[in-house]
Amino acid sequence: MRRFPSCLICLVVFGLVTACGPFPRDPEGSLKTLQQRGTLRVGVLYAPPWVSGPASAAPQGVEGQLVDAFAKRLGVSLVTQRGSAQDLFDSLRHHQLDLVIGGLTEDSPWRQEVGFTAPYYSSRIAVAVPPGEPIPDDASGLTVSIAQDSYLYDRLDRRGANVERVADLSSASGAIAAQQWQIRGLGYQPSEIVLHERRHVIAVPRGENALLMELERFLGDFTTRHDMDRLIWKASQQ
Amino acid sequence: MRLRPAYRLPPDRQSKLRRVVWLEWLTIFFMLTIITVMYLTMGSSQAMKAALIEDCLSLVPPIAFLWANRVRQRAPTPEFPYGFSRATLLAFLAAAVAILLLGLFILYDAGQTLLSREHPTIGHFHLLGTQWGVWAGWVMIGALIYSLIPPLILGRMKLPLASDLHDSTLYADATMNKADWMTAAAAVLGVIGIGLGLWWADAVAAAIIGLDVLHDGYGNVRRAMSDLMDHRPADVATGEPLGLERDLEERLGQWPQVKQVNVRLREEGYLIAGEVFIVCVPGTDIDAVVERIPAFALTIDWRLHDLVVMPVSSIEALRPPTEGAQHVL
Repeated sequence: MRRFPSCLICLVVFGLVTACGPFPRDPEGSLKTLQQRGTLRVGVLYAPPWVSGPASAAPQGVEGQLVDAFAKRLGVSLVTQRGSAQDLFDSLRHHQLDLVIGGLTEDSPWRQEVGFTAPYYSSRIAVAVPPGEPIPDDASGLTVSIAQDSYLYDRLDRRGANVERVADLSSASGAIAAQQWQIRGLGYQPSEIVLHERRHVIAVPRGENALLMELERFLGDFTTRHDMDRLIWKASQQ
Repeated sequence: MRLRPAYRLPPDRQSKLRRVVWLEWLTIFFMLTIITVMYLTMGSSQAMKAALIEDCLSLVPPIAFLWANRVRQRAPTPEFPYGFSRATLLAFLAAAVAILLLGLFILYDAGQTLLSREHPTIGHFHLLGTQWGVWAGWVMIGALIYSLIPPLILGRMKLPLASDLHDSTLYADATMNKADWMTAAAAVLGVIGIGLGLWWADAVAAAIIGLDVLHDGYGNVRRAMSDLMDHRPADVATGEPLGLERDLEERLGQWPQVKQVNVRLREEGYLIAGEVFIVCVPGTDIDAVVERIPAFALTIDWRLHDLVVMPVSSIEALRPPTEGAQHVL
């Protein structure tokens, strides 16, 4: 009856795989088209330190550097487009853009609409203390400073910490709660009290797996060659 | 109250049953390893997700079988004077409903993917936070091929045993194993399709399998329901009547003491029970004939258990009061 012999499947598979070059391929041919066109079209959301700089110029910041290096590696020129998140993701979905950058993380709600790379960098958000001070193992009762615009208030409050908002973390005294790269940049010692982990990604059109593989390969190489924490800290200081 | 005597399987069937129990434990073990491997490698492939859910659901028939197998071996009690052989039918119904739901789920999921034109996004393989220099699709294919082998072998080993033991749960389980490995094979083709840039290949593969599973599930649910409605004994694989009534009538008709005989049988899980109406030749020791018949029936077929023998004056006297009543169903 409905019995497809496994050896036949293997033959078909082998034939298909050997008969054609690049694997996996893009259903809409993004990678091939962009190489033929000679431009990498990137949608840019303003999100320092990931993406910064004036709208008229090429994007600065960590992800600005990333897409610039990626375009160079592909041997194409970089074309950027700024706009609202809605505009950029709509363009990405309709293949009018090849990538969207802007400090996106793995749990962004846009993941339903577009494809994401695997996280190329993850940042632990933790409580840290100045050098030489004893490292706390419990936040309860501890006075912790956070940046004015930080979202960490609730998370610390739930752990019983006394939270203080400060204009500038570098001027805070005592414990702070901050991103991994900030802690390292300020020379603080991170504790084991991890409040959150942010895993950063870049958006690609859904299902364009050849482009995705190329980008992930590049990101893998880039992150092993660079100290990401320092890079981000430097970008945040500009 | 006279309880029904406890049933003992013939020795050859007992050894087969032991083998099945062992096979079912093996199935559960392999399914758990498969579920783990699939979960770790699952990306955004629809067919792969369908295959994983199918693997989870395919734990239902073996568990149902092992449960029913424990229950059915209990001797009849005053609360359950007819014994527990129908536990296998309940298990069969549960297994059949699981298969039916699975088919519906796979079909719905694949249809939705196709309608929303959702392109599966699969990049590098990641494990424990490390990026491996290989397309995750290849790893998925590896996992799927692993998930294909145990059900393929186990299903083929169970199918003949299901017929030998007249066990419909076991048959449903073997069917499910078949659906299992075919889903995995289709998912392999689907993932390769994704690699070739055919975004729809994956969902189409899943949908075809969904239809096949739905078909099996529908057939099994129908059979389970008809078995619970005291269907006449039928082959577990084909659903064809076994013709035991005729055999029994012919064999008993050859007895010199028996003038006329009429038999009515029903399935009670793996057992077959029913009534034998006999008209004895005048002057026969009716009690002796009646007492010999149940033991004699077991020599015709191992499943015939505890037949009730009813001596009557003539078979015609038993005609139903209304002729139309037999077509109510």
